[in-house]
Amino acid sequence: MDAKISDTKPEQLETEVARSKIYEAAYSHLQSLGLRPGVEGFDWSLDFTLHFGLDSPDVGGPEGPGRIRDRV
Amino acid sequence: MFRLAILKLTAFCNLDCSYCYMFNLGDRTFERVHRNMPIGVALACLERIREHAVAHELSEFHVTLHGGEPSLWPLEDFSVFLARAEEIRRSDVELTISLQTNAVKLPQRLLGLLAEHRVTLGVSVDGPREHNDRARVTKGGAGSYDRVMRTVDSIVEGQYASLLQGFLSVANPDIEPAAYLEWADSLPVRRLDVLWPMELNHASLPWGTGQEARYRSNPRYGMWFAQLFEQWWHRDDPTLYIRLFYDCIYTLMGSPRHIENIVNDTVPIFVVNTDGCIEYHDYFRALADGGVRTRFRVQDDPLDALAADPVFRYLLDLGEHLPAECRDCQFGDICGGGFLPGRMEPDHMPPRRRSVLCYDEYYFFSSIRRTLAPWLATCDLPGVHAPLIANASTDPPSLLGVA
Repeated sequence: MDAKISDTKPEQLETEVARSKIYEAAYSHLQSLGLRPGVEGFDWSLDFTLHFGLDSPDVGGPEGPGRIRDRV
Repeated sequence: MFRLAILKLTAFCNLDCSYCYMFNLGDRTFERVHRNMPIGVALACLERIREHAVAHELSEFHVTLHGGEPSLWPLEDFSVFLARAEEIRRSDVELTISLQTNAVKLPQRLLGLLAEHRVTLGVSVDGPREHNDRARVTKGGAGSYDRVMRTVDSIVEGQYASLLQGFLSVANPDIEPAAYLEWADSLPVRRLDVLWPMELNHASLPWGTGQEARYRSNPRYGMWFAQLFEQWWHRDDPTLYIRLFYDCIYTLMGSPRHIENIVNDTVPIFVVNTDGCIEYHDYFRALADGGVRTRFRVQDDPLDALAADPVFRYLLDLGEHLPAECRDCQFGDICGGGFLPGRMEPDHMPPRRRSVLCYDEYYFFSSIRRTLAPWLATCDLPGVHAPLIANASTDPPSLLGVA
């Protein structure tokens, strides 16, 4: 397997920043937990995880992770 | 204080996975303890947890039911245990409970109990069938994939579908990243985590004799994780939840939460084996027989007594023990010395050195940083990982020898 790290330059991605659904989902999730500009973090104890024990992120929107995939 | 307990309900399993740290690596504790945790020991665990949570005013505490294979614990014991957990939830502390299973067989009555008491399920499976079945085999050597996925399908199609939280797999560079993602896409719950290998440490290096320089340039696991991340990122499907990747993104965006596998600032976790012995994290099980055992017993000792133990103390304050060789590393905050099993060395507890996966993790974090840099530059969350942006470098790992 050859090493391959993206060689995309930041300036090339400038216009794509707003289009990353993963970034937006992660941003929304952190905001929902209270990590937003002007607020000092949040109680990480509420978000402590081991594997899938406590983790209940909101990423993915209303049909987010944990949903049962549509059966084909 | 502790926030998570791993309870070994059983010391046996109906699979015989080649890499299993419970049965097939250095630790033989399973030969010397009860096959099943007696219900009295299990209830003592709950009482210790309740005491600890109340004393420290914890609003919640997490319990992971583990083994061996925990679903093989007697059903009547599950019933008594979960009923007591429910009482504690009502009166003292929110106990969140999960069960990590191989899903070879999960009886409907057990699923009903788990659903009644809000116990979630994580299923261990290691990628596509041909790869899973090389390591995750029955005692007779047969692959387990088809059987496990039949169980998963039956859960998903039945009344207990909501129990299934996701899948846990071990990194395997033999799987093409695209094939891994295709497999992940096909899962009935598109939610999984990928673990760094737990069998590698300072007594079992990821490179062969005299091969360190070559490995440093081509760190096998780091390259695999980097490719997997990059392909996942460019697919841009946020509903394919890969926990390690989201956790890295959260951390780089400024999340201060503790994260398993990365950051490594604290390990507020203890294990209770079937005989009631309180043990260190399973991460340390691979290296030596009995290396995780302590003098503490859940029947006799409150959890606060563990703070007097130098290894537990060290693990609780792990962030204060960043290896000296990591202090100038640009990834020190997100890596924290590396995945703990890889930091283990023979005849020394607790660990002092960085992980033998250092080259791998460095490569992986370099890749993520480069991919995310443009987005992080626009991120207005407090604590966003500015130093990584400021120092964004495309240099390959440049490290001194680990060995």
